[in-house]
Amino acid sequence: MGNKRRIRIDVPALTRVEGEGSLTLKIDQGRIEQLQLSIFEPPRYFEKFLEGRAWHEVPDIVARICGICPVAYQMSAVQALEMAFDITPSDWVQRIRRLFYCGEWIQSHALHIHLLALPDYLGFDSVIGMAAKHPEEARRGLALQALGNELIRLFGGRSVHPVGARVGGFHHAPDAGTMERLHEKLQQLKPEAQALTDWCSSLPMPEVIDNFISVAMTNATEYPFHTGRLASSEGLDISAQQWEHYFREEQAPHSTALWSFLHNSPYLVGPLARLNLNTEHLPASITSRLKNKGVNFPSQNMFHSMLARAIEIEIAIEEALAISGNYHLPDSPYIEVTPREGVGYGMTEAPRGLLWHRYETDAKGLIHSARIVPPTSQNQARIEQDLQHSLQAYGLDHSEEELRLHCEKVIRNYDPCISCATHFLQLKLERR
Amino acid sequence: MNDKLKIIGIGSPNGDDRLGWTVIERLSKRLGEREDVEVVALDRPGVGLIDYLAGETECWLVDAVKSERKAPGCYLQPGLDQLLQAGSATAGSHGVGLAEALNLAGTLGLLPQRLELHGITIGAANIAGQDLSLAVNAGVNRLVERFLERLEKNVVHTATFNGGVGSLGSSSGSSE
Repeated sequence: MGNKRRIRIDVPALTRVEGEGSLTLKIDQGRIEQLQLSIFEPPRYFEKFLEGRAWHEVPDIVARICGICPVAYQMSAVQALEMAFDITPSDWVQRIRRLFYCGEWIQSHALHIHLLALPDYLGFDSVIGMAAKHPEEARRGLALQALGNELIRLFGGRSVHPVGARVGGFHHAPDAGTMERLHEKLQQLKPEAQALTDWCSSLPMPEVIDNFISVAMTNATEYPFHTGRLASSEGLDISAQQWEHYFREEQAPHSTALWSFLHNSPYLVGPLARLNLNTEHLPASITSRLKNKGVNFPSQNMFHSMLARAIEIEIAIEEALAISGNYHLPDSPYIEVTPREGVGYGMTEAPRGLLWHRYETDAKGLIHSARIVPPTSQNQARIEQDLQHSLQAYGLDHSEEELRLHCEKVIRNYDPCISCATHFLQLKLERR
Repeated sequence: MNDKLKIIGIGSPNGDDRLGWTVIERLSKRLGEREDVEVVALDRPGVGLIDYLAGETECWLVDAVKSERKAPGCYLQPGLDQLLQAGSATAGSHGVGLAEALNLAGTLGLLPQRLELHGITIGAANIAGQDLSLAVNAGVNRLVERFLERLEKNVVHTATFNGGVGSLGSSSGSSE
């Protein structure tokens, strides 16, 4: 296949990603002439919907932004509103929020690995074909996802668009017996999560090393879920309040989602970025097993993203075991809230990466303004940058079908949630 | 193995697509404390549905069926072939419909011993809001009465669905 061809690949609808997007790739004389990741889901206007709504409505409204990561939206929102009202939730609430978040990481990562990413690496079009050849692994994935959903239901009342979180805490605290049963289930599935990590670390992955910037929360004492500071692989160390001073969002003509830059550069958020910036919090048991497989973190290979998700499932199960093992019923699962005029910022680590919120409230606690920066919109510029690099490394003389599959694999490394970002893939390839 | 009959209504908050929930709500009120029947309402569960099916002896699934040929409110018992013809519309994890979930469950041997699909047709007119259209509301009442009649006579099993493929659309509803 010569490099004189002009090729245009159109992937009009990206599959196995969340939401609606497309990719256009034009190759002329063996060079990429145009590479454009387009998000064409219509804007969802959640920030505008929130204006004028009462503070206590916010957690349930933002939970509707995503069916996969509603906990993240709720946790960033309550954190921001608590800052605006100058209240500090109890230690019990903080630990249970971490536990609640563990459920979301487990279900979201298990879903992405098994339904969306693994078929790529095992040569199947979908999880159905994969399940026929790898039934035990598929069952394991479903069991882990169900565990995560159960954990979310415990505190959220339901796993999709949960309703249990409130500013100041939770509406309901499960009894000790319920928590004991959850603890037992976590113990049962811990070996399954370990097996998943070991299996993912054994799968052959492309060796594509790229010089990207990782951005994630860090925490001195624990792997970050919902508390800590924001760090980058280039030395950033800021609070949620400072985000606007360092990060810039702009509109790209081909996308309904805002693009985000750190010091004018694309950057990565998500499991790989988190792992890269928090390796000191990796349990020794995981580190030694990875070492035996020849895998080390930090990693600049985006194809380690699926493994990073598997590792984070293990971390989340360990965390959930620790918290559920020391569970006690509180006097009250929330503290009373007195609204006031103020500005609050919240940032937490959604399964797909940093989720930043800012709210301005009036004296009655009505939302005057809201700003929500989801992970996938932050990763958009980075995805295009990665595609450029990865396609060159892969070789542009591959067939259209091979190029398309490679592009989709690269994009799925980010587990993009276009519906959230709307702020995603049809591939259009034109080769000349 | 759970010997109870499990009736699952699948829906969304979007107009007539909520009919699965309404069936469960009305059945629940009429069944009282009956211990041999468990009713569950689910919001577009995707593959999460499998968790509700695995280990069950018998399940009845109720869902909306999008139809261009039949008027809203008609009863359908979609079979494997219909689901196959509906095609796979899975575009992402948000788009895992009933057919894909059942197909995956079937592939993994996680389907109940007996599974029935009960559909009520919906159109494109009532896709928002919290109320059912009159025609779909009537269809829901007819299905509830049909279920109650079978339960009263203890005629639980009439048809078996052995798993299959197809798409029930991007919402919880099926296409027909």
